[in-house]
Amino acid sequence: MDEHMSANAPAHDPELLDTDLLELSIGPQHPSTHGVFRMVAKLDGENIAALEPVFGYLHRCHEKIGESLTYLQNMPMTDRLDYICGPANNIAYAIAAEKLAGIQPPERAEYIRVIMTELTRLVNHLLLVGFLTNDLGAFFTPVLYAFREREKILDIFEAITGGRMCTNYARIGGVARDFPEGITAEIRTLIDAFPRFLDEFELLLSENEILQNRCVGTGVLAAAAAVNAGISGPVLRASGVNYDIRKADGYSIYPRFDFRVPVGQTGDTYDRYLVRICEMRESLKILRQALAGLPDGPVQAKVPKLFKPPRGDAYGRIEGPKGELGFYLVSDGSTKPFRYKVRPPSLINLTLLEEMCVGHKIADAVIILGSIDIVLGEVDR
Amino acid sequence: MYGLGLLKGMYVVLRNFVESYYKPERLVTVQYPEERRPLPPRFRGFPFLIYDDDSGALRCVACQLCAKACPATCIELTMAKGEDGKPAKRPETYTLDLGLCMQCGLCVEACPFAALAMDHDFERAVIDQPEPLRLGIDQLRRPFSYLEQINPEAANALAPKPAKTAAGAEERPAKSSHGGREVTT
Amino acid sequence: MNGEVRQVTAQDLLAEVGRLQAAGFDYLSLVTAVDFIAEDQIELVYCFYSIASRKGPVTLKLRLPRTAPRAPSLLPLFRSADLQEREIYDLFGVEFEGRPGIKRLLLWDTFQGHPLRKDFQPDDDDRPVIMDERRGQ
Repeated sequence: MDEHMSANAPAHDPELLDTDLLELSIGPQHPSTHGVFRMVAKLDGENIAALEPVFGYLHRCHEKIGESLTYLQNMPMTDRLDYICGPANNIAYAIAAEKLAGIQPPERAEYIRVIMTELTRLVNHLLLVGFLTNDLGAFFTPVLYAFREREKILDIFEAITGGRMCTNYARIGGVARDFPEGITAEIRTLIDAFPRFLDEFELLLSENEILQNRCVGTGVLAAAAAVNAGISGPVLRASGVNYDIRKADGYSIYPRFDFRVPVGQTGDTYDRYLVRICEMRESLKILRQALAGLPDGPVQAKVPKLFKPPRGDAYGRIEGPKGELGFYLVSDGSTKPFRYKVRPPSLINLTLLEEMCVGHKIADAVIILGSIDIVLGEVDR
Repeated sequence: MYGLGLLKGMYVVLRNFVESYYKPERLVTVQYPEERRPLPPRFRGFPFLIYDDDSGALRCVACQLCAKACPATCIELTMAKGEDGKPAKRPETYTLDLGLCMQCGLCVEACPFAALAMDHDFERAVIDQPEPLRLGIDQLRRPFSYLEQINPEAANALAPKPAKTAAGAEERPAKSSHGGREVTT
Repeated sequence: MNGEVRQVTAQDLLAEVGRLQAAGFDYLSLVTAVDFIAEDQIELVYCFYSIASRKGPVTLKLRLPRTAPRAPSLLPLFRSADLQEREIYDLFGVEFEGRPGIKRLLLWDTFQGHPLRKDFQPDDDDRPVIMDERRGQ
């Protein structure tokens, strides 16, 4: 149309070009939004001019329900928050409730919790790296390689707790039950074989030109903006901020373990991917040390059957696989929490989604979202 | 050389593909449903009511602790009345709502009479006739020998209820409470 | 509550937060609200951490009246307050001043009411709140 007109028409008249930005709703039903998540993108061709995330499609009134259940009954509900990392949610909630009542779990329980959290970190990062490459277009091959290893860890979870993802394992004062016979040998076999798998996985992905072309320089998040926006976890560390709650708070028995914290440089998608691969290697170090130092003893402190913490409030947070997973509990002295608040890392990591995506193509919005690592159960609760 | 990363990746895929024909760690799937991987003993399916093999009587005394412990309120039960009209220590009705149960196992932990355990059944899909979602006592009862088969560790912990003594008083079995003690289910 | 707790009023919230920021507490981790219906107040809770010195949490607590609660928004100082304040508006009905047009976060825009308030009654009276009913409480 334009070519026709310009032959006879006068010099370019902007009023003749009446363009508009296309408002496209990415989601909520979309295979790449990692759940029921909607992004309303204003597009100028393929470039994103504005992007607004819309939340709430998986809102299940988790916090309101939490006020009508006892502290123990809330435990299987926490599994369903970040449903990929079941044990991590359980442990974070147990830590918050223990802070309320001033309970110290026994040594063996602390070691078991560390082992479960680090295995959960492996589970989560495997899934994330797999699905990030899925979003990039490597249709399912890296996903299934990662899932092959992930299945081994999920089998271990099933043998210990009875459930693969919804584990309901931590209890206030420790863990629900001790390890079964022979599971430490299985975990040891797994972590001995894992570095070889990671090497092969990196051979497949890290130097891949297509991945580097698409991920390097995409979705850059500056360090100062990240800190101001409350970003946490691998996303924050990829932007160059050396802040890991395991080192900063020194909660549980993490100060006993020798591990490094991988920190990125530019805060682009490639850094976020690489930070997670490195974190998997560091988790293996922690697992080896924890298994070596696992003491004997009880796995639960003496806690009354019906847990009734004193009046007060407490905020307990852990370095979950996605970031700072915290529980803020207010107790009025009864058996049910007066206020039960979840601080979801996925939701708060999405604060700067628009800033990260604007200026990129629509296909990049998908991989930027993938690299932030969200799960809607946590975002919407 | 530009493209070397891609070639390395292709080599990895080729190796995985070729080795999957003869290395078991590369081919990890089974031909379900003809082959099945064994479930670990602690697997949490839906709960079931235990009855003692010799007497056929349910261990449940209808104390309502499982119903109170359930976060999803999926258990409803009523106590039976004996011949004299007084409450008898057994359930008249015991309903488990499959639509609500999330297989968390808190009911099993709460039961002080070792009357519940978690089953290994997860294949609940049916083709034609819609199965009822609310299971009654008849569908929920399983013998103690079944528990010994699927989960020997739990069977050891939920020791069989000892017989009544000569004086007529019942002995309580080993408590499997969740407070202050480990639970093995 | 673990860590230092400071009680503030709505007037000096921004000044206090500015002081904290100057003292190196540059990470606002948690913004939430608690409905103390018995005292006819809603309490806002802010947890600050310091990235560089690894210190924290420093908690600021702000009590507001339950009817028409208004608080200054921390959005000009901390971007992390953005989504969390929207959630508090959505679920508790607290109005935040100093930020352009606040929208609900989790519930749909035309929803009436604020569910996390203790006296919230859902619209669908034919299906009462199930949990407490079935427990007979």
